[in-house]
Amino acid sequence: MSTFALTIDGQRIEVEPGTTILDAAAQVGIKIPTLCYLKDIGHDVGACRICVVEVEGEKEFKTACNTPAAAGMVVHTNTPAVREARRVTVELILADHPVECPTCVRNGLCELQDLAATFGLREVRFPRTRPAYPIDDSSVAIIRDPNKCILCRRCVTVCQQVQGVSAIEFKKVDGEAVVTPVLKVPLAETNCVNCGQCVLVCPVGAIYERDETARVWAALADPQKHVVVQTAPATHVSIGDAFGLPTGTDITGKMVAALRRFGFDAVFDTNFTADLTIMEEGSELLERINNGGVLPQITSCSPGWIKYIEHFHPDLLPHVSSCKSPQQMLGALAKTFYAQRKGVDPADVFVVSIMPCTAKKYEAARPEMNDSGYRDVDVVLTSRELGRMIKEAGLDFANLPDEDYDEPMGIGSGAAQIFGATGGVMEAALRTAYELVTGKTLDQIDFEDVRGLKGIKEATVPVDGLDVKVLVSHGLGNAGILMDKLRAGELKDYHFIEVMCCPGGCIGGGGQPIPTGTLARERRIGGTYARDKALQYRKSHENPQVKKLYEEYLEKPLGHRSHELLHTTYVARGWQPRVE
Amino acid sequence: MHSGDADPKVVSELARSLLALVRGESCGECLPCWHGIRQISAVLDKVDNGSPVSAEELAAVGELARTVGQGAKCGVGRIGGRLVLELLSRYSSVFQARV
Repeated sequence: MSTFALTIDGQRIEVEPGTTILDAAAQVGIKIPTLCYLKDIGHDVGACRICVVEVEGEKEFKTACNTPAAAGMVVHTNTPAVREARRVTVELILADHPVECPTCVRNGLCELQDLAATFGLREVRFPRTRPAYPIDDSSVAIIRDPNKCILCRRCVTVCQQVQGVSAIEFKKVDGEAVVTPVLKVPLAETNCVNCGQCVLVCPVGAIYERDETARVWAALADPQKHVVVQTAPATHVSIGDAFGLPTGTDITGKMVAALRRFGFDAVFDTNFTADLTIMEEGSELLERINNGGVLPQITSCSPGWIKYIEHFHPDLLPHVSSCKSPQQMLGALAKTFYAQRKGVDPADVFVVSIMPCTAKKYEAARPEMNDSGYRDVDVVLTSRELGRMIKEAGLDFANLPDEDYDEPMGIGSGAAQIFGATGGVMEAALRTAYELVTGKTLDQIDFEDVRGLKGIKEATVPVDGLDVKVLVSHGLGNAGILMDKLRAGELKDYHFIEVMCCPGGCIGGGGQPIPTGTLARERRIGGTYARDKALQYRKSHENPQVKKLYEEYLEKPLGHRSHELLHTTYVARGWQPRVE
Repeated sequence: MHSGDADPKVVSELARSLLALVRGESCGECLPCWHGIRQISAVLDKVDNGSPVSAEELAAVGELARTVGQGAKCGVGRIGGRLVLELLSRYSSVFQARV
């Protein structure tokens, strides 16, 4: 399509049709301020009115974020009237926002704080008008402080449109506009899957993870406890964000060094149990294929996805692999296999997980996750919480030496590393399944078709005469599309489906450093595949520690001990809150 | 609205009731209207019930009314803001600071 010209603050610019005034202004070096707008999730409802501009011939302001540029348009972005409106609007928002910046979880990472600073606002002339609301801490993973909510509705868009969960909504309740869990019940009583995407998009501190760093410091200070830690694949390429390193930098060795300095008795890698997951889940798939089991099999690593299918598609649960997630496998092994080998009382072993994920907090708290005889995982910390601990401890993170994980659960393959990116579990499974079934070495181990940010991906891989058909989705909205097709019988030819709850997979998880948007996701995916390429082992079945674990303890995939420790069951929850 | 002599009580009562109407319609979907109309209402209520009102408060009402009138997402706030500006300019004697 042909471009056209418009004028912004006296500068002429040619743009493509469909370009917003906001994007057109950016092309001439003008950053029109925004607050509610969030391009990554398609949120352009024009709620905050911060991006208002004057357009000649128009009686009223236009919002730059959602007004398309037009041929011949003459736009003014910096007039006295526009500046006044923007400043007054920020002042109005601040009047109803508790200014508790120093004690707020988002201090220094707050878009409202930034905007007030950008405008040089020095006073708020207006009194508070809203009633005080109780903080909703009903959820084990996510806490809401409605007092800080600025009604931008990003969380509602991501929950409803991207994730298809609709646990929260925007409405007028008793004359007050609020974002609230549906039917005004506590968050924990909704379909909320704890994905934390709302946390990532909140511009302020109105939704945040339950902070459990104090429990970890206390365990580390307790001489009776044998405290071990595991780190999820996606954290290896994300935690540097909190320390100003380029997004996607592989900080694995520095994270290990930091954790060791905290005093953890052993530092393990969840990548190790990701490889173990491939052995168990791959074997389960082959068993289903050979013995007429329920197909396609669907992955089970993502706890947000698990709670989603339990609420929204419980009839399809037989498709889900019985494998626990790598986090829960490691927890169960730490209090059995490891404790035994180390000669420590499993009652004294305290397992901490570093996860890119808020839903992992819920997963660890599920009643059935105690197959070791104890709570398999004691505390789950998000990437953000670990970042805060490292800062509190005063470690110069960027300059820490690179250290290695501890035996016997410290080696992870490249296949495990890519669990953190959408398509990675599938690719890891294909690398192993091909070789185990055919007995041949796979020459081309990079399965490009299942990589990248396309919402639903598919591939067909010939394995020993069988065309293995696979599907990959990320973001629960896409999972919902696949589940509807599965129920309609349209996926009968497929064998294996990978579903990740969060957009981009775990590298875009709800526990990751803020900001986590499309750009950060792309860069962390880049870092993930770079680390995969650099690792000594790139296939799960080649992991020497996994081989040893089977030899010394588990015997074989899907064996008796595996079933006891590494597999689980699900709950058909159905829709909540129940509507009578 | 006419601009002749008017009973101050009638004018302030009119302003208050018009704003109450706008406030009831304001939905919260856009922030200047949601917050702004409330803040304006609070000052106009003071004018109506004879409470002290400062010149700064009345000046702020002007800023708020311009912001809402020009920037609100829909006609509710836009009309509300303009009504306030109209009232302030036509009945400046009613909307005056007093201790």
